[in-house]
Amino acid sequence: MNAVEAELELEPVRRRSALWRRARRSPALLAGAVIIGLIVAAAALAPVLSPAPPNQQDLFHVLGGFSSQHPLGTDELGRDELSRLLYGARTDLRVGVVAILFPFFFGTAVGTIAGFYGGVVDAVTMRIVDVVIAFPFYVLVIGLVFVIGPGIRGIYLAFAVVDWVIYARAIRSTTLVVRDSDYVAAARGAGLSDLRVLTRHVLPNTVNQAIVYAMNDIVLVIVAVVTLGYLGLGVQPPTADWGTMISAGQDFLTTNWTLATIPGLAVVVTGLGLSLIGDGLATVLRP
Amino acid sequence: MSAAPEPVQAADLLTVEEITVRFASKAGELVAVEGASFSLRHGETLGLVGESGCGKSTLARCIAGLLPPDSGRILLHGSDVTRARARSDRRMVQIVFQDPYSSLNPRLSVRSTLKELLAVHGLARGAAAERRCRELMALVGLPAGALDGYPNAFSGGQRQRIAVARALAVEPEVIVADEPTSALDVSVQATILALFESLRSQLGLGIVMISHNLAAIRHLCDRIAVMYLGRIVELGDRSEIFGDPRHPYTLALLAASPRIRQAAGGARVRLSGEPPSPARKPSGCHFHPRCPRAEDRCSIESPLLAVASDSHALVACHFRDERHTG
Amino acid sequence: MIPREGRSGRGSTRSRPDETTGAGAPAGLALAVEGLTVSVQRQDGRHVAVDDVSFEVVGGSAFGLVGESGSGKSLTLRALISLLPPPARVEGGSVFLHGRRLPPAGRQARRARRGEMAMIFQDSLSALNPVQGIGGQIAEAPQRLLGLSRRRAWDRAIELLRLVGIPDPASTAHAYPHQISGGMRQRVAIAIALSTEPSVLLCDEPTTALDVTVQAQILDLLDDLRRRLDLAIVFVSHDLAVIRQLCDETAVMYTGRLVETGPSASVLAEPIHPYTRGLLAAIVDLDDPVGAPTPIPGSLPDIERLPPGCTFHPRCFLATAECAATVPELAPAAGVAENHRSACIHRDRLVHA
Repeated sequence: MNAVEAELELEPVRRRSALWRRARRSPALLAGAVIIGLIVAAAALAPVLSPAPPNQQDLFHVLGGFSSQHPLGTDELGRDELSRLLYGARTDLRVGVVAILFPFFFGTAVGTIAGFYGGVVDAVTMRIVDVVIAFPFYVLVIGLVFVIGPGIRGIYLAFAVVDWVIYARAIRSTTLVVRDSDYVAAARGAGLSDLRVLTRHVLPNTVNQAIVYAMNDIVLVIVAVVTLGYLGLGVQPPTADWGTMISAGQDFLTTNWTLATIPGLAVVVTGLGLSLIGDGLATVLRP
Repeated sequence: MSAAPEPVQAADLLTVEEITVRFASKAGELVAVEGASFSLRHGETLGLVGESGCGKSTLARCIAGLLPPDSGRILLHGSDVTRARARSDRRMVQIVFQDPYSSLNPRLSVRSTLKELLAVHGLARGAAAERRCRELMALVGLPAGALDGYPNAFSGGQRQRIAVARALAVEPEVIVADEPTSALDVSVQATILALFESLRSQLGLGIVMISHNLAAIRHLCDRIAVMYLGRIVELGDRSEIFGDPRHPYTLALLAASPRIRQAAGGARVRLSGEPPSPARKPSGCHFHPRCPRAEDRCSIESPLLAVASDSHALVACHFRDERHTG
Repeated sequence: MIPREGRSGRGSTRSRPDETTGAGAPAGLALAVEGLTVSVQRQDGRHVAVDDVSFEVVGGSAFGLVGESGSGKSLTLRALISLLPPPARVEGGSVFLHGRRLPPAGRQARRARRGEMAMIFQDSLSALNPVQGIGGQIAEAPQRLLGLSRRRAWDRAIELLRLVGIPDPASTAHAYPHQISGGMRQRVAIAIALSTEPSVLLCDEPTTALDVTVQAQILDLLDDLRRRLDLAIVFVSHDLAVIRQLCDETAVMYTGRLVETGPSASVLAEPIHPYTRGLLAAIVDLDDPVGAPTPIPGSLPDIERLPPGCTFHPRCFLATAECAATVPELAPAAGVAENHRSACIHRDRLVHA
């Protein structure tokens, strides 16, 4: 840092902040954590909080408005909206998190190896990444889902094939920088094996990028699942899922507009929460 | 290019023979180090001085085994470690870097950093490792409590000490210090220099110190190698380099270094122009375009590094026998 | 040589200030700083980073401001030219340019300094616009501030490049910053600074990042320019030897305060403040390498936790109880020239010690 920055140093060098303390000071992280915390809690407590089983149809009370028995009304098959919202949270959150697991680990591993070793490995890997990125995301996902068949399994597979490239690229960039740093040189110069250097010295300093991105990626997955659900290619009925709820609710926008908009709002709020966490983490995780 | 290198003696700890390092760059092939040779003994400190583009940092990394040379040999205790270094060989030469803010892994505590090295080389485990960590802290003048800390909790000078402790953890015989004090505050530099001195006397380490600070070099180093655009142009002991410099570049460096006691005393030898890019080196003696002593011969014939008269110093100049002092 | 526009009506030949006493020939003071105080916003509130700093610089002389990182020297310069970054703020004090008082901050402040005061920085690469030609960058200010035509401004740029010692100015003017070396870039930065014929040139460690032979050239250049152009130079550095080489007068800063001021020869050869003495003992001088450098005990305090009274007392070998009680003023010592001052109540004990 230059002379002026040294004089203006915002955090005196001597005082070391624990990660925890820093986390508490980030408004974004706290806000996001609260939002997601509430949503996760609601999803976990779905059986307790739901007025009725989500798939239970009641054809005598279709399209009902808000009532004490159905706080958020009923849909076109008489199923309780609130229950479906809560169980939908379960579905969407689960799919969102699981879908990014493979891309996260695989992409990070590939990016690390490509960035660290360079040469042919890097060149080949990056060309593959370029090819995948060149395809419009949804075209690929829809294509894959079409081939494999609708359902959650198809979503997982589609993301596994398509989503890892973003992680690979981001991690590779960071790895290139870290690879040339003095402490990595010192580690290699001290005779540490490549594996040890990668796991103890390189990865811990590059993985933050991936974690932050993963937060935003979960949002993307949820939106994608919602979109696929909207197109009828995602989660299959009767499983509750925000996407299918929005899609089904479309037909009743003029009469029961809450059927589509409430799940829509749920998606927005979840997305906001995860983004805030991502932003907060980006600040907090910086050493 | 040098003449016959100094003969390898039994007591030589480190011998560097005709090391050449090339890089491919956008400007074409770049020869960063050209045929550098020198040797180092136990308890000896060799200073490598020169300005940007002289290759001293590249040579340092080569010696430390971080960069393979394109030709030449590096010998540790007489055995050739040029191409491949076994883990045990790697212990022998350790490097301390210039920037204390980026030379430590920010994610590892001091204790973890040290213990990892002790474990990997089978030097100590468990309670013995903890004891050794404390010893290392004491050696570099830091309290044992520092072991719990992470790098970002320490100041520049403290981090540099931790870097030295890390280098010492594997019990090296040679330490290469690449500008260890230039990123530090003036009053802190003294403490680090004192640290190197005490290490030398306590542990008998051989030290290769790279610096552009001639004063620190003069204080700490027994022998000095002056480099210019990849070549060693003068190699001699302290009294020779500072008392009877023979190469015009050495003279210019000494004249250009500012002093506190008097305002730029003595002959004001001022070089014109700047060091050219290492990708486009002048022919013959690389220094000739800026050299006040240059003659036609200098652009054609590269001078060999050879002994000057009335001196033990090796000088790469056609006019090495001319004296400039006294 | 660039014809002077005679802004202040001064002649351009000036006798060089006397080496040992630092007194200038009778001439207007180019720059006078009185009680400058700058605060910085930290987590727990505002803290003083520059505390009541006062000094004067005569046209044609070089004033050195020496200190370690955190001493406040860079902030002082930035406050002078009104370029303080937002966490920092001028709290008090006045700056006078040729006897005219300058507004401390805000747009008025920058307007008043435009063309009169210029600054060069440590990193010449980031100080220059990477996407603009060198000639254009030098010509910009004369065109806008002095109203010169493009043609004349360009000619001026070439002249300035020649003045700062760039070989082949015509082709360099068409080049871009990344195409030339560090030393040349610093010369270009000087040329830009001089383009409006300022009377004051502020230098923030301009040679720290340069090779020693290039540094010597730049210092020679600055020395030459100050004499030829009657420039008042304020040079900030952590390198005592560099200051000794260029500056007639030196002020030593510690935790935002001036602790010793006076002619460079006196301050750096016979210091009368324990900190200056400590600094000199802690560094190795090329001509006197035998003495082992002795570090100053303790470490630099944070500005949030400054010791009371004299901030240096916890590290000082002369400290007494009184030192923690009062903030010492800068004053001369017995038996030493009037203009050599120290902010130490025990200053007399350090004379000829």
